[in-house]
Amino acid sequence: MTAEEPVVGVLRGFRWWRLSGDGRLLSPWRGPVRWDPGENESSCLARRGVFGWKMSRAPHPRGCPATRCECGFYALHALPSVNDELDRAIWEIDSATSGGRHGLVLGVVGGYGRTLVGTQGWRSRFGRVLALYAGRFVVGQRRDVEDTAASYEVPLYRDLDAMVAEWGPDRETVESLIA
Amino acid sequence: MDIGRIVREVEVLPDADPEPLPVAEPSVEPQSEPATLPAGR
Repeated sequence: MTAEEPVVGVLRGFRWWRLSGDGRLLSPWRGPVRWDPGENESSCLARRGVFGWKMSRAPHPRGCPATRCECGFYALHALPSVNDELDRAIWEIDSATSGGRHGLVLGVVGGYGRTLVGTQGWRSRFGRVLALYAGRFVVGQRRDVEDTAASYEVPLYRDLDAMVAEWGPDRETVESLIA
Repeated sequence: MDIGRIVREVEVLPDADPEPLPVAEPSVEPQSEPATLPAGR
């Protein structure tokens, strides 16, 4: 791994959020972390305690995210893969179901500040919701998704290809970062 | 989520003079059947 180096511009990536039910987005699997419109700053939530998630015992001399931790805002370079096998990861959900009854919504996040770039995605200190997608045929949480997109003042797409084309990660940037 | 093997540490500096953001197309909501939920949820 190379030493920390500057990159100009916000990195973009795909991720899932959970709909709060009151027009907000939550980190779906750790927290709950409530996302604000505009800038969000991550904190370490590496350990699950009796009263919720807590910071790792390992020092974070450079802050979040730390290489020896799991903290930071997560995003993927590509749309989540679909895996129906028993060994599937929790985020390997069909993008077409975004906004459905499971209460998860797919979108694009912008990341900046200290960022750890991996072969499949990145995690960053700062994150900003940029765009949301609700499956064309999904009706489960339709009104909630619309209200949420409006409250974050981000576009809501019904066409996944359109969102990817407009907001998806720049392929050249990704390839240069993971080369 | 799994971001894979970490290959680089970077300091991402937001561009002070960013390009105009793309404008969203109006969303169209066809009347149709709900999508199938993922297994196990």
